Amino acid sequence: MELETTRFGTIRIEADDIITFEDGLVGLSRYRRFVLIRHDNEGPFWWLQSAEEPSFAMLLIDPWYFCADYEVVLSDADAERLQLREETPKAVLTTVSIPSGNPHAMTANLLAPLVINTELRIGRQVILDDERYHTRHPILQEMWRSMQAVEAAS
Amino acid sequence: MLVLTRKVNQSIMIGDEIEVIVLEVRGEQVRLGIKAPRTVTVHRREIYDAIQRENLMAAQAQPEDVPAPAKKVRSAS
Repeated sequence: MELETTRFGTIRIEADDIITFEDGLVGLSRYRRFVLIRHDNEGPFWWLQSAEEPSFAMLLIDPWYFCADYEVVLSDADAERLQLREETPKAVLTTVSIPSGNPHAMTANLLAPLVINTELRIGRQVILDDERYHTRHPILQEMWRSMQAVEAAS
Repeated sequence: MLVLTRKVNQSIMIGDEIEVIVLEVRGEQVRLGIKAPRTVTVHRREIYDAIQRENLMAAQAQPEDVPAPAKKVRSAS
């Protein structure tokens, strides 16, 4: 089927490309059904495009691209809602904020990642109970810190 | 908005399953205890608001705003 989008024009999707966020996103509960679109073939960026509203798409990033030691520990309640077990294939992405005119100051929200059960195609934005993480991690600084930590460990 | 006055160690029930207890009052600070089923999520309002702000920011991004990727740290696990 075809999906109209403001940013990407008309795209072709399969019915099972749809990912359902039963509770919507935090503070944005009106959109429930989305598709993931890769920004380009190599980079860490993705878009969560609404299947209901052509103009709604959120920029996401693979958090391990810039924070190699990022840890996501789900609460039992979140794991249950996502029907996740240890072996279930899953994806984790975090939202990206780009200050206007200053892309190098972009930040990622490591406190509230989007976790997707890729087998059942259900997703949820979870809020981690981990003091290391907050809503605005500067991505380029984290990359630098992370590279040094990896080097120090090897 | 419903307004109730409670003393320390008194509580309110929200429905049959959620209980909010006043544990301590010290000056301007109030400590609350919340008993709720595991499926009910409880968060400080500021955290909820901050996440909503980031979600709205992420939804304002346009493809041309995204910088070209730099050298990769490590593959996603």
